[in-house]
Amino acid sequence: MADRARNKDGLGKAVTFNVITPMNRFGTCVVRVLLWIFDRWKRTQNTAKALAFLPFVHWVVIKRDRFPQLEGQPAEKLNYDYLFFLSTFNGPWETYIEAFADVLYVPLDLVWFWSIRYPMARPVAPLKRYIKRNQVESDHSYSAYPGASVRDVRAGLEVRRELELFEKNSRDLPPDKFATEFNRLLMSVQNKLGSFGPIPE
Amino acid sequence: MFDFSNIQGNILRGYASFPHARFLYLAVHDAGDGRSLLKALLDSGSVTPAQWSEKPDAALNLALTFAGLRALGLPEESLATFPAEFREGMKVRAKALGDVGKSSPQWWDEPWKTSRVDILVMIYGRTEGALEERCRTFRQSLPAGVTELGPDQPAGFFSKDNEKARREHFGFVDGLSNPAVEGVSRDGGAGRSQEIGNPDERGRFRKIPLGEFILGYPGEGGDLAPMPLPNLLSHNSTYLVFRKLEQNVPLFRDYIAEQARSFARTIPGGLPNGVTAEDFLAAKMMGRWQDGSSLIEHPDRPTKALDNGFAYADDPAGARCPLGAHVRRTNPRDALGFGGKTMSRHRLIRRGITYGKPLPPDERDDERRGILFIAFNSGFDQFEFVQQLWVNFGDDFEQSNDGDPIAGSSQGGQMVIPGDETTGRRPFICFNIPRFVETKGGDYFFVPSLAALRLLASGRVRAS
Ligand code: HEM
Repeated sequence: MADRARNKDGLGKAVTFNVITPMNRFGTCVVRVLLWIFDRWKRTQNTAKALAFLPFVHWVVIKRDRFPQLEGQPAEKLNYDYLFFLSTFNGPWETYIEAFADVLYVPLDLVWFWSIRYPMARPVAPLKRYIKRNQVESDHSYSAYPGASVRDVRAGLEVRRELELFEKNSRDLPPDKFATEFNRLLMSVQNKLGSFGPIPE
Repeated sequence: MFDFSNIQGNILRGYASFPHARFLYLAVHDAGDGRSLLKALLDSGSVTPAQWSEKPDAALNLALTFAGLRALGLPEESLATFPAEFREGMKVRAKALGDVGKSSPQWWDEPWKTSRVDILVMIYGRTEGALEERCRTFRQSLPAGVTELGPDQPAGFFSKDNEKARREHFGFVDGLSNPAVEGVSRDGGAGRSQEIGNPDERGRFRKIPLGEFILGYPGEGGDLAPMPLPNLLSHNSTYLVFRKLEQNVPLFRDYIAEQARSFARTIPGGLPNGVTAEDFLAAKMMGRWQDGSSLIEHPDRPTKALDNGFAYADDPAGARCPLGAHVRRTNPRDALGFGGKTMSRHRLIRRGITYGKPLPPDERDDERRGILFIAFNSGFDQFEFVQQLWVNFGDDFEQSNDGDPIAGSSQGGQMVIPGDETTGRRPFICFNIPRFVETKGGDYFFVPSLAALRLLASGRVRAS
């Protein structure tokens, strides 16, 4: 299993998540329209972004005749189109599914409703079983910053922005003004200073 | 709605009026003897339910490990339906729980270190005498095939200067905040516990469904926790986490004293009368003043007010209560947003009790002291989540890898005490926080309902 990156310091924080579920032709049409709407209508995306344990969520429709083949591999005959859900998350699997079901159940149900035997998001136990049955493990996963969660990355960017601003504003200041400026910097990044790195094994 | 007289005591309502306790650890060598012990206890009405007609002088409750259930002869097809964490037990989970280094099982106290406890017997008394009397009659009733694993564990509540509120060894009032549960009326009488539910969409608090703490009822989101089979065994039963947490009081005091000197320099106008930098810093780490008053409601000085209805949403940067403080982590209330939906499944009922003599101020000794951490939940995932993600790790609170300053497992961690723009107090970082609390034993237990105990005693359990 390679559902997360690993380096000499430990285990990466982002866990990959792939679920493939079958849909009939009618479902495919509906889901395409829905995804088109989600793409333009930002509310769901904003909720997903606010869930700060969620680096990435993506839905793709794969038509039955569009599955890739290796050279010389005959095309399989499929009875369904497929909805491919891929995501990465920080934290435990159970919590991730629960947060999804508790917070994002409307878009989740709308898009997955068309998948064969989808149980609906709530209560969450049947959804967990459904996902377990349809989840595909990653063979490889790569992470540029295995030691960083979404929050770590956001915090890092923020600290950098503030530091650059400080560097510009504090040049040639007399000591007392410098102290004021430094305190302002510290105040602005005070909750972005946690120690990060891979989770020690 | 549900039957209190079938649920064991000390779960839905605490034993605050039973300040003396002793925990006995049993090994069952003969299934028949184990079952006849249960039967005798039930027949004599010795197992204390959640509801009594007349308040007893002493209370006795039982919990079993997986090994204990097996030792009583529970058939394999039933055993197989218990959750994986329970089957493994706490020793196997040590790494995941941060029980490493000096907290790892090889350093635990007896009997945890070398034995596997089958049955945990929790005896509480309103007086020392009532406790001893109950312990004595219990010990007399032990059949030959059930033996006690020594040493037993005395424990008790203590308070300061004749106050009613009880304290833990670092000096804080404890036993204040517990979940408000649907169908359970407020802790009355001497119980000072004040319940708090989970936040809703409008930022108000609502009661928590019973299923989060008792098996067989719907929990958050309408979900039923997995039920071990047969149903009669799990309905009205629950799970208990028992951990012996040793507190290094001199280490804690020394650290606070040392850091307080630099912390004091971040406070421009100085501290209010009667508040020392030590008090303030310790409060910032805990999230409450030592007298129990909340930093949210009383940010400048302790007031002895034990109100528990506060919320964190209007203190987003932690100017009053730091984001990494112990109580803000272990129950973030509305701090995480989303109408409480990302925290609502991670609540615990706590019934911890202190052991060892309190250390008077300015003294040092080699006495061992701490908390017997006792938590009830309808699945060990609740406790393990809080322990792993909220106590030993900090990402949910913008703390990255930094853990709980009081109870966390890291050695040499750090904590930011956010500054306060309104008073001009500057941010302060505590570096190199030692591990103040070491695990010295414990396990995961099943707490059968009274009907389930009866079923276990009968030896006629069929999983289907
Ligand atoms: C020896 C170690 C510990 C000490 C000294 C300690 C002390 C305290 C104190 C003084 C309070 C505030 C009083 C109260 O609300 O009852 C508290 C609250 C709490 N603690 Fe601990 N604690 C320890 C370990 C733990 C652990 C390991 C957990 C969980 C895994 C935990 C979970 C909680 C929870 C859930 C609350 C209630 C928070 C709230 O609802 O506001 N504690 N603790």
